[in-house]
Amino acid sequence: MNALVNRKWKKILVIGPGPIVIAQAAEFDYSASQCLQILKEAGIKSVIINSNPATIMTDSVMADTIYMEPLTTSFLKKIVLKERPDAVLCSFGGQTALNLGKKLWDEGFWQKYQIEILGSSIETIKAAEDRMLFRDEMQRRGHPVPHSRIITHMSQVDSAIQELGLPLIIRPAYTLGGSGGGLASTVEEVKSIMERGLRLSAVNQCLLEQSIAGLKEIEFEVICDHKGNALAVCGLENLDPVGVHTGDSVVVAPIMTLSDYEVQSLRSMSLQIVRDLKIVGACNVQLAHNSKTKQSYVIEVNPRVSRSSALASKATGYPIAKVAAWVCLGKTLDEIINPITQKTCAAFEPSLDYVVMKFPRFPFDKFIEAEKKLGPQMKATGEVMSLERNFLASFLKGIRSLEQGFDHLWCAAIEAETDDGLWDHILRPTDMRWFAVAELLRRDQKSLELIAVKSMIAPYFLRELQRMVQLEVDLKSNGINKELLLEVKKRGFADSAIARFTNEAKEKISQKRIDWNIRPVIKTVDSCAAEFPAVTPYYYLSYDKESDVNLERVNKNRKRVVVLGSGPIRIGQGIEFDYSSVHALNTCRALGHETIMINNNPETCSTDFSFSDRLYFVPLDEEDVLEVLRLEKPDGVIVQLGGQTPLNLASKLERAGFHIYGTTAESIENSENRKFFEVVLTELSIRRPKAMALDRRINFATEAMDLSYPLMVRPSFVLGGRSMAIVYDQQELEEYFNSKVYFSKEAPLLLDEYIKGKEIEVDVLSDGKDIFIPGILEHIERAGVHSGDSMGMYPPKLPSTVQQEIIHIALKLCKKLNIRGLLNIQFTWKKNQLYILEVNPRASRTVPFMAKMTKIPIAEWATKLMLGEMSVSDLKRSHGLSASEFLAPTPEWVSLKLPVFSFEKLSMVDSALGPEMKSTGEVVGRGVNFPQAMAKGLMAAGVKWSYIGSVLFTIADRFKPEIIPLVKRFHALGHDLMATAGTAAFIEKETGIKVTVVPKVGEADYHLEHYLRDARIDVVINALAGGRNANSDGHLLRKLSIEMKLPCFTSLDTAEAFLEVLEHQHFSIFES
Amino acid sequence: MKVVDGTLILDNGKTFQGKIWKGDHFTQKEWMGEVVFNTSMVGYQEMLTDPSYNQQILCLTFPVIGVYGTNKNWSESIKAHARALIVHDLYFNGGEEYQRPSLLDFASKQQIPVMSDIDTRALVLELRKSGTRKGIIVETLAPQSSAKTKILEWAPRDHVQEVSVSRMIRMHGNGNKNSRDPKYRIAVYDFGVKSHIMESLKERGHEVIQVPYNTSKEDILDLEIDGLVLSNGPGDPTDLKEHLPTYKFLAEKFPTLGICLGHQILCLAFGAKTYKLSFGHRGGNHPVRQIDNGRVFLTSQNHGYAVDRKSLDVTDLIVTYESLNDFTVEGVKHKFLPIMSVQYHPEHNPGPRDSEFHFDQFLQMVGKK
Repeated sequence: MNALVNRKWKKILVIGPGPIVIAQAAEFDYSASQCLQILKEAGIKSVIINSNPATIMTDSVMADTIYMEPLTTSFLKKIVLKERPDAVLCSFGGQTALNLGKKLWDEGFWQKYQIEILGSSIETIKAAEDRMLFRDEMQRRGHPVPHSRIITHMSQVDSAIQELGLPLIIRPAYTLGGSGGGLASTVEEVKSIMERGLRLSAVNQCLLEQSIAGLKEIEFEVICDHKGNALAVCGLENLDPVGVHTGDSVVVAPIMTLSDYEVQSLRSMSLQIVRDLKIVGACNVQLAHNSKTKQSYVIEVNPRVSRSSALASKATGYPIAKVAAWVCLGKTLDEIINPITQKTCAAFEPSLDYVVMKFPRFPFDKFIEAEKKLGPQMKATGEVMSLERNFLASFLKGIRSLEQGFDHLWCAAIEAETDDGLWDHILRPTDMRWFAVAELLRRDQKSLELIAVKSMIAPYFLRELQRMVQLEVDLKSNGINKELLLEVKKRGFADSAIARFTNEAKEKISQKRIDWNIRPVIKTVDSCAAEFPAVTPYYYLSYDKESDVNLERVNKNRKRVVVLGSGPIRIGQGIEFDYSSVHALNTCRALGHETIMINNNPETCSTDFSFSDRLYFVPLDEEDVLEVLRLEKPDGVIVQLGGQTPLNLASKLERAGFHIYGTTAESIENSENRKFFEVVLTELSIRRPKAMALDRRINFATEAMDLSYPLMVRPSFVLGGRSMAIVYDQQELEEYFNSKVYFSKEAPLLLDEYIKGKEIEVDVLSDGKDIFIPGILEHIERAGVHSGDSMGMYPPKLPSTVQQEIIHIALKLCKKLNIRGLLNIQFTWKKNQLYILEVNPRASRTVPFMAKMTKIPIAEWATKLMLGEMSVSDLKRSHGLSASEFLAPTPEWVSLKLPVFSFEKLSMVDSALGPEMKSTGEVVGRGVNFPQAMAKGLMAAGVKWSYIGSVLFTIADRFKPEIIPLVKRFHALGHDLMATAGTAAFIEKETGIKVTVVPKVGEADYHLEHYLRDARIDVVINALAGGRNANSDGHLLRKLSIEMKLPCFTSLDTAEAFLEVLEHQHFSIFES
Repeated sequence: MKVVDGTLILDNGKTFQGKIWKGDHFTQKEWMGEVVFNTSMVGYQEMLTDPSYNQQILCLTFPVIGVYGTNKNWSESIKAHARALIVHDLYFNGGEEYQRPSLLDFASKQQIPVMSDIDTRALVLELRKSGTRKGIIVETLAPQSSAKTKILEWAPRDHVQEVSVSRMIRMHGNGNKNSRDPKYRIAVYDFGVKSHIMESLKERGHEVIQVPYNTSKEDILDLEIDGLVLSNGPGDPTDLKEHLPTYKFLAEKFPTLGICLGHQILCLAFGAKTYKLSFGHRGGNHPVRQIDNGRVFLTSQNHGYAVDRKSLDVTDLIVTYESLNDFTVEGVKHKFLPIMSVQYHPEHNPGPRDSEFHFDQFLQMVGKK
């Protein structure tokens, strides 16, 4: 087999995708990892460059050489010159990799060093991605495209609008996930979106296109080899008509509402487009189809593996990235073994015998002020996939998998809406549109026709939701009987939803179901509808009749271990947890255990069926996980590695009789129980900030509060209102009370004294008696900025006494809580006192970063500890450490973990850092010293800066004294200082340095906004009091900084770190 | 529309329970046939009306069937030939979006029952493991042993006779009458022909004469044709052995294209052998490789028999296409004469259109003669 691969390539470079941002998430970790696996199989040396440490692709076993360096042309060139690869693959790392590959081609770099570009040529990539070239090519080849004009300058807009008519879609060229695009119905809207689009486009080019909103959106995932053999792995139908970005749409496979005639027409067109463009590898083709006139249009193609190809791979079982990698290495489709049957070849198109759906996961629970309207710009951070044997069941499973507190297509807030409110959700689509559709149908099932006409949603999908509404009516009016229960279970109703509709306890429904033997069976995803014996161990549950598999144990001595995954990627629970889950799978398999993965995120490595013995795609809720466990009867379950999702299930699973590996469910509950935990800390005499819980408002006139300001305030239950905040005085606290905050006895408001000290974080490995801390992570920003948004530094600069105390506290805690596995502890350190802020009895998001920087396989060790197969001292010994060592040896490099945000995708979201997490991803910066590491980290995070320029300060009174040292240092570097009036006066008074006053909006005709837009400011330092007032100057300033791509620091600690970079790279001069 | 509980009984005793949907005036209470499955995810109407499914009970592997309704333009013949349709989740309002009749409307008019709520995946696994089975559908959940006896005694017969036309039908080609492109007259031996085979020739501008399977060579010669097509059809190709000399004589005289059963018949006529596949090839995702240049494409297939590859060695036929799934013969050509045939369906409907080029190949062959 390997003989077929071109022998001349000895070493191939793979460019990674960089940090996770909206529209470029875990799917590229999956595809790049698959690509690396193929290079290994082909016996070719691989080099990977990727700046995101929280990935499987950057694991030492994946590639021969790994560079966790910034994805910029200069670093790429440096690596290429050092490694001298024979060829490069840039179609496995998303748009980032493709853009880098293109840039170096345009510079003549690849040509100069005779490095071959594998897969599609750069000409092909340009023809597919440059909107003008693409449109021309399609027209030349006779493929229909919507009428459009290319705009490169605002002056062309008026005539274009006249020619094309409204509404129009604006699509900037070369941006991720449609950044900066939009649908516009008025001339003004066109202009404002166009202005932003031109700025965001890498080539200052936008397409102004006739709107085809409302048509069916159909996608094909195509693979084509160098001989032009092309096939469509999967056709996907978006439930949301054209207008909502496909990444934000609910998607079903296969295509359901089109006849064979239409499906084949669109398929043939897709294959022809891919051949015409001479694409080699995977390609996503997006089409619009008018079911009335039968007219179709080509929307766009993505000439690389993509989010859709990851979805199509998981939806069908066909590993697109692996096959595409072989194709890029020169194989033809018939020469590639089909890994599913292991007998047939990759030249086939999967046939599905289930309905598979994808639902987007939106970050609006975290970003409550974000614009929730959906359009051509993607807003979802992650997605889930669900499989069932009918549409409605697949739909409801998807809703449950999202983990947004919905067990059904029903939501109290939507139920409370007026009819007009519901229509608004549907006609200007929001994240709640499907809930609104269901609610309208509940109010009047006859509204179906009207919804179909107005929303352009295919009637079939609406009929299935009407079926759901009718079943709800049946449940409410008839109560429950065996026949009805079987029917609603077949249609995907959760026990808890059935309980709500029938006014029964959920336990009672579950019990009845078991009594009547209404239980799910296991069905296999085999890509061929059972036509061939498949070896894929890839399953879902269905309330059908017969199970495909026999789970009898062949070897009774072999342990059966279930690993629970982390579900959809969301702010706060990202790819880091998938990394840890995959490591648990690998560890268990290496130990010889039967290893079972349960997860529902199609983007990830953990749902690659080759990583486990059996993979189940089900919602990670109590009911579905328990059903899998009852069928599998495992020896135990690992809940510590998938983030909060599995941890929350621990006690429920244990109560149902399943063993939790490692720290017991009781200990987990205790460490998360505030009261209990306080008692423990007191007992162990560990300091923590003074705290209290409020179940009602305080009447300050009569009551005193036993805490001193500032305070960290958060509700234990967030209901569409504001959540965590720092308040500095009584007035701010009262304001907080007045905002939509919900508190009661069951869900009290939590108040902590806020100690603005140095924040420190450790991941502790424990067997309950002994511990090991791979490394101490010191945060750059002081406490108050969410740990997920702070920059972290390793090794820390802390005095050794503090490090010793940290070890001491960790040991005491782990023993007391009987931690077996991992414990994440966050400290704040102020005035030589250590306080505990928080503990989490699970893997944290810093595990992959720390594992890579300390070279301790943390997740692997944690797994061994949980399984009880090794003690901490065994592990230390295995790594050549003595029993008395508690920390890994200090490395020679300084490493920084930097957060990466997706603010440009989410309009209205305030970028100011605070106690709530906002970042979507992370990068690593490593250097010989702190400034170098910091500079690289910033570059990797995409921050661009000039060494000399002007810096704007707008600082709340509270922080003003803190900025003086920074001001002086910027001045010494030669920066021009600018500030808003108050800040300027303060600076001049304190330092005597001349400051240019920048008027706020309304203070002068030429104000802040103009300064920024005219590029008169290079760096923004904006520390404000907080508050979620979207109209404040601070908010505008931060928004504009993002638009203008300026470094904007809302924490003075980050600003100081940045200053160190500048000082390292440039000389300061002093007046003496 | 009536719905009753029902059972599908296979001749090995396995049973599958579900619901039977049938028209109000449809009195038949049991249905027998060979139970086969097709993995195409769309195209149920095209499949039901494909005469190759004569005397078969068709099980579809995609679970939700009926969503986009039915349309008179999609039928591959004048009526449904399958004896019954078996699905998992039958959708009733299909076609609403397009104001088309639903699948149940269609089935009821065609007097075929639809059996739903079957665990079709379990049925397919059974057929895959034990091979194609005869089966009987009865309107009860507790069938008597007589039903099983009946299915054991039943055997398919007169497959082609039942579906072939009884007299010749002449059809003019479509398209521009003034075009300078040559117009040919093609005879299509109807063994159960799918109308899209004839459409494919007509839309290229050629005259088509559909002839009964037992038309004599003299009658064909009288037609003064330019080319000959041996069509698809149901059943075992060896059932037609008495006619093989006629087909061979004509194939040696005129450029000939064989499709599916027609391909098997052609191979038999030239001395090869055929055999029954365990559970057949039925679906729209069958990969085929062109042997001389390695080109690969996806085809629509529907056959229970195949040509024995080895047996071709003693003939003047050579293998031109092969299946990438099981390496069975997918196409042959004659070493010296303008004769070609394919096991799959270049006319598609349903299925991928990748192999449509065979019609152009064939017509080129006709043109060279």
